[in-house]
Amino acid sequence: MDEIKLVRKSKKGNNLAFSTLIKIYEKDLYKVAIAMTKNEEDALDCIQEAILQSYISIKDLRQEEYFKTWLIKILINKCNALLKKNKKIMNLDMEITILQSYISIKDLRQEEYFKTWLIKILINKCNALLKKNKKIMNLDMEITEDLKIEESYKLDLKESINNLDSDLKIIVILYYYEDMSIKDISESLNIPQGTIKSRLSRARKKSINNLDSDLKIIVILYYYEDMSIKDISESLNIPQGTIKSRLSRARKKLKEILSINEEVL
Amino acid sequence: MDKKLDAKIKQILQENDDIVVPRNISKGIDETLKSLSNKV
Repeated sequence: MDEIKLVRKSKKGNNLAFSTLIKIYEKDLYKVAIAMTKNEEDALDCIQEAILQSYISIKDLRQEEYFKTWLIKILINKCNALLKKNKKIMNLDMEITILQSYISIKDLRQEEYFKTWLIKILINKCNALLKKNKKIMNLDMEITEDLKIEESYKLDLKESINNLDSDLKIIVILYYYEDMSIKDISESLNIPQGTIKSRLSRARKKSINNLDSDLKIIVILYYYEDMSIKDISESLNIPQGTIKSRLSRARKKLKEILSINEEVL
Repeated sequence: MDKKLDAKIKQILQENDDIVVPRNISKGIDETLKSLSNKV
């Protein structure tokens, strides 16, 4: 049965037709959700919420041929809402960390290690939060404008670090940006020094190959989900000009990665 | 030029799309759909 017929049936309350439609786009939903949330638990939450929302609102869908784009847009909204919520939790936790460090600074003995001491407090907070929520935290905010990196190779590294798995990302941040020793990282994260060394080596290799996340989501929406620049811009709340320039960057990188020659075009 | 390049990129990406939906995600989706079917 073609998809438009399934959409029409779903609008009339046919649950089997609706389930069939969702299963057709299951992979698309997963691809978008995982690219945005970067962890499976959050991705599933967003997908489930998007399914419920689309189930309720499908009767109002006018252009049945755009069901897929409509569904993906609902999912993006759910992901954006979750990311916003997670950021708020993260901000609150940062405030608590600052407060805790303010209270306990009188006990700091080696003043020259203030930064390492502060980061250790932050890591403990993050570990507690992770344990509590059993969620992988998005550490993107660790790598923001406040990091003054001058060398261009470090800028490249910064871009690609954002795409690393969180177990690698935290080690790279602590080692490269915070200048913590392997011993200190090992103690803070409660991970053996050997594991830290092997993860650092893995991170070095991986960071070269990854596309950064702001490009990745646009690549997925544009090339896999066939969304227009206008639709992507509206969904991600990013100006069309920015989408175009990111797409142009992605195009160049993909051309290289996929080894597309001029002659083929 | 961009259109041709985009078409080529799309073709290659979609041909090599080896992303598999993890079992737990697929199961979670099935459960959501089941709960919706049971509602009505």
